[in-house]
Amino acid sequence: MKFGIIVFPGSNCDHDAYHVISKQVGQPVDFIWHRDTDLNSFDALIIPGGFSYGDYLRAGALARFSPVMDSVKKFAATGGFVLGICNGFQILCEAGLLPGALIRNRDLNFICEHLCVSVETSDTPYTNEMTPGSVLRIPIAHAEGNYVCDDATLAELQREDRIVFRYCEPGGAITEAANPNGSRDNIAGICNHSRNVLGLMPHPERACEDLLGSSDGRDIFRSLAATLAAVA
Amino acid sequence: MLSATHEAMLCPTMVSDKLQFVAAKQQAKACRTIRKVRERATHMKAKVFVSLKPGVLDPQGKAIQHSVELLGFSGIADVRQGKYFEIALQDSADQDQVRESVTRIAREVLSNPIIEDYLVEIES
Repeated sequence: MKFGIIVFPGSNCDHDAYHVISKQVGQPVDFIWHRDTDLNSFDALIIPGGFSYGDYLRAGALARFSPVMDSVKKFAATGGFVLGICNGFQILCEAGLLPGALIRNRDLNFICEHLCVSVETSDTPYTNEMTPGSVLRIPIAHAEGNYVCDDATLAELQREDRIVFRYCEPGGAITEAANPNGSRDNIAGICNHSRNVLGLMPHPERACEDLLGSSDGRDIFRSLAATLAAVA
Repeated sequence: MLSATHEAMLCPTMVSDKLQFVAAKQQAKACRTIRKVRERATHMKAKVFVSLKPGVLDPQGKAIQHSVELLGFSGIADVRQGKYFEIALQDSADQDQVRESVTRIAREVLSNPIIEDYLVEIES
């Protein structure tokens, strides 16, 4: 089982993700420069947070033209696991691997704080070790995390049980007050139709050690590692 | 003339004011020529306007509207912020072909069709 972390110019959570996979999950992991195109040795990819290409044009818009992205699309199309965190989620939306778009936060602020998300489904490789309705305390750090999509896309996401995380109160209630950025339906993370590609705005890699204030994020990486171990 | 310029660079103290004047004139002429060549090469320009689709929240537009109102203007119904791109085209390709290419650039790079609309104008 080998994890790959894709590094774009401007990625800045790549080392956090590397640390979590190598030290907390205890699996082999390597960085992949955005100009590399050979992903054959990897079983799962992480597109980390940061400001790829300085967020020029739109967040994630220019990263999708990096050479590695064609390989990522092929990797995803053949069932490979792709996890996009924050800027990684924005890139996956821009690349068309996930539906919808992430626009400027409702109140214009860059928000950096710990908050709560509820696990909406355990039917993904990233949440199958969790119970639906359980609450994770994970930080967000973004200015463009306001998830938008049209009515038909939202209906499809709901019908196919593809809304994986939603912003919630500490007790688990999904309320407008718990929605930090104006995201439609309090969406914090979604997966694709075949459930192997997940994008989320919160940073689970920043919440994998008690020393950092929460270790709730570890469950996401552990679920993925357990899935990989089962299919191996 | 070129050798005079070289001389000016090599031993400036020995060169007369006149030689310096000639060198400066030469440089100005070269700059004008380069500018003319560039102008001739970029005789077609594409303008692309990207705007948020109606209904997509524009908090920046709202903040701008608020500031405009603070300046004392009333009766502002709405402000929407967009993006404007100028693309200079080097060859004199046929206008329809240029429009087709720029439209593709606008659709696939400059805008995100989920949240934005675009408008292309070609200027000869």
